[in-house]
Amino acid sequence: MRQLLISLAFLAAVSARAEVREVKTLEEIQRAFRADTLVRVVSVCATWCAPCVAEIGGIDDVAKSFRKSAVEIVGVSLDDAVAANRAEGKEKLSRFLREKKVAFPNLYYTGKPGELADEMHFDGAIPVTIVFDRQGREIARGEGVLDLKWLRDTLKMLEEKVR
Amino acid sequence: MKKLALMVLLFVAAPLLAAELEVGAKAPAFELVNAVDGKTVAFAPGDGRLSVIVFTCNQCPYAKAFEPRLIALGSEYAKRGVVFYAIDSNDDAAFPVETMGEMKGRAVSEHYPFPYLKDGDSKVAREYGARVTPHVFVVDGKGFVRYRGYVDDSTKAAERQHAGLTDALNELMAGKGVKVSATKAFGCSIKFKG
Repeated sequence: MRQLLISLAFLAAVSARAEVREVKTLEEIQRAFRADTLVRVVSVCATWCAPCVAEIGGIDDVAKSFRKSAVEIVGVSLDDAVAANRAEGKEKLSRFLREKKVAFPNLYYTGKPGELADEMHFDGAIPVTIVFDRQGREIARGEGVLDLKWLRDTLKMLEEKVR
Repeated sequence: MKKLALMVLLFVAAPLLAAELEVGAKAPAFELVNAVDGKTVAFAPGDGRLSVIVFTCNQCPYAKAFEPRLIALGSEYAKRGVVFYAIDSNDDAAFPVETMGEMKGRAVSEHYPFPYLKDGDSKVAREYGARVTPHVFVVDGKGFVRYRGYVDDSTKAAERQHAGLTDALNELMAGKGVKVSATKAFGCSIKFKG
C-alpha cells in the first residue's frame, strides 16, 4: 500500500511537471502523443494571446469528451517567445493551466515561433489548431479563433472513420 | 478520391486574408494620421528614400517584445537616411487600447523616433497583406518591396541567428541584393476592422 502511495505521488509529480514539458520541434511534439492515438490534434497557443486564452476552456471540454478514444489533443504554448526567462515562462504557463483547470497536456515550445509556423505551415499568428494522423500527415486545420463546433464535429467524424 | 474530397471539406476553418505583398511588387502609397501630432503623413513609394513600414500595435506582447529593438533601429537608421513608418491597423472600436489617444501615449512614453500612424479601417494592412504584429516591409527608393517578414528571427538577442530587417537594410545600402528577402513574420494577428 505504502509503495502504491509512493508511486502515485511520484506519478502525480511527474504528470504535474509533464504538463509543461519542453519541446523544440514538431517531431518532438508528435512524440508527446500516446502511441495508440490515431487522430492527433496540436493546438498552438500562448497565455499572452487573448483569443487563445478565451478558447482553451472549450478545447479542454472537447479533449475531455474524447478521453479514452483514438483522438488526443495536445497544446503547445509559445510563451517562451516573450518570457523574460524560461523558468518564469514555464511557471506562468503552469499557473495559467492550473487556474483554468486545463486537463489536456500542454507543452512548452522553446524554439523560434517562426520556425514552428514554417514546420506547421501556418501564417505566423496564433491560435492555430492542426489535426494530424499517426504518421504526422495533416488532416485538417483551424486557423484564427477556433470554431469549437467545427473541431468537435471534425474529430467525431474522424474518430468514427478510424474506429 | 472520396478521402481527398473529405480532406478538402475539412480545410475550411480559416479566415480569408489578402495575399502578402511579394518581394519585387510595387508598394502601395498611403496617407495616414500620425497619432502623436495629428498631422497627416504621406508615403509616396518611389520618393527616392529607403523606407521601412512596420505593422505593429499597442497591446500585442510579441510586438512589445520587439519595440525596443525597433526604436533603436529607427534612430540608428534615420541617421543614414532610412525612413520608418509604424502603423497600427487594429480595430480600435473592438480594442480600445488601439485608439489614437492610446497610441500617442505609447509613442510619447517610449520616445518613438518615427511616426505612429493609425490605419483605422485596416485598409493599408490589407493592401500590404500584413498579417501580424510586428510585420515589416522594406521598400527601396524606386518604390519596390525588397524585404518582407520579421524584424529578427527571435525576440531574444541571445537566440537571434538571423536579423531579417537589418540584414536587408545593410545589403540595400551597400548596393547589394537582399539575400534573404522573405521571412515568416510571427506575432499577434492583426485585428482587422470590418
